[in-house]
Amino acid sequence: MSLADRLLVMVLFGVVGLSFAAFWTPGGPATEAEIRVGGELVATLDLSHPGEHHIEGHQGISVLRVEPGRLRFVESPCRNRVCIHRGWLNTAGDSSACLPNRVSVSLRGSGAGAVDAVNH
Amino acid sequence: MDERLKQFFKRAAWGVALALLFVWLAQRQPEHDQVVIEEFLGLGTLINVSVYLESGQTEDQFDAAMHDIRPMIAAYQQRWSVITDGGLSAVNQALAKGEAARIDAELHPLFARAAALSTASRGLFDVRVGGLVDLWGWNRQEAFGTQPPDDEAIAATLAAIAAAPALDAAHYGPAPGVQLNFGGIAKGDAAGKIGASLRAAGFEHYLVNMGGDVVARGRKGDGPWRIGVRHPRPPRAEQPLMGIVTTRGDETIFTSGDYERYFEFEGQRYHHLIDPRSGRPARGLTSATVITSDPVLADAASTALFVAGPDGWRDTARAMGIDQAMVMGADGRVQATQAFADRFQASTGVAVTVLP
Repeated sequence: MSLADRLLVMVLFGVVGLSFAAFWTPGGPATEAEIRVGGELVATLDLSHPGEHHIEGHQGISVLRVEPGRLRFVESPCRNRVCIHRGWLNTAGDSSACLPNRVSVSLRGSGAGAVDAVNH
Repeated sequence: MDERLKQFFKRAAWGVALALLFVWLAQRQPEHDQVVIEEFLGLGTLINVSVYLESGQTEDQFDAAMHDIRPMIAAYQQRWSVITDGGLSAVNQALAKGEAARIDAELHPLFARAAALSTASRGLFDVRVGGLVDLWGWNRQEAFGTQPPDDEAIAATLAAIAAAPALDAAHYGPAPGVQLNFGGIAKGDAAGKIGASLRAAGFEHYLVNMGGDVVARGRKGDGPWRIGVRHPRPPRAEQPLMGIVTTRGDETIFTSGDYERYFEFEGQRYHHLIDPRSGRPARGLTSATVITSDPVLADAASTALFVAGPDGWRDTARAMGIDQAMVMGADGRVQATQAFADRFQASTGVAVTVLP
């Protein structure tokens, strides 16, 4: 093996290792969100289109904000704020709900590293 | 061309091809077409049931199974709720009147489990904390409390619990000032019952997600079920997970954390996991995760480990027969048992220390 070969082998290993470190984060990105009211599917949101969505629940309007690749509850008629405390959701397999308003959100996506559920 | 240069390019080509192969392997998508999912609201949370259909099984069969499961969960909720009228409410009403309560036969099995788990956890898990849960307002789904209760009220409720008899399956009380709350165990029990119904309907590969607590069985096609564990204090929005656990057969993964059901008062966070020793939210940990095959044990143990805190969680796990557990401290340090650490795929930046 010449010096150049050895250098090449080292560079290739380095590139593979660095790419792995840079790109591997557990949990795949979500691409869409299913919105349910009382368990019935009312909308499927594409997470590549930012915007705010007003969802009519059993007690009032829950406001969902979509930014590229993520979504969160920003307003809801509940007072206990569990849905808002969840913060941004961006992992396929994750979900959240505003129980008093019966509005739930489930993130879908099938990229590398996607999980089937998020323990919380 | 120089022979050595040619060899160099040849090897470079092989290297690139191998790198591409790895990328392709990593990006390959798991089988999704055979997974069916149904979601509904119950037990005060979002319940998600995913089933991997084996050949010959149809989505209609799954729908039929879920058609039976939904009313079962509604009845279960009625039975164990402390708000609506049901078996447990009747017990609490008798206790509130200062009378002894007779326990309905359908409540016996979980009463017996709760009594045994209370003993095993040395009182860190205790269903007799209902009065404290009421004081702090965690029962009110419409609105939690906005400030901590009076010290005197907490002291009076703690004294009532201290004077009360231990839990018994057939009869309980009189126990003036004591209310029972099965919120720390009912979700696990219900998830186990959903699993049993799915098995009875012939499904051997499923995931039951009860508002973030998971009961898994079988596999998702040729891979295991993959469960993310939420980071209690995500360092970056893009990295919401502490890491991933891939399931091995029949397993339950439960986490108790301080980051969802809480309120803030004068800059202090008050969460829903009450330490039966102090009557106040347990301090020292931000989350506790356990893996075991028994969902009822998992539910009670995740609560007990959280309450035990940074110095007590390891002994409590041992006492309850849990050998896979992980906790994150308020200081951000992550500790785990050897058996948990061995299988946990931690996210970048999450360092797990093994506590033997």
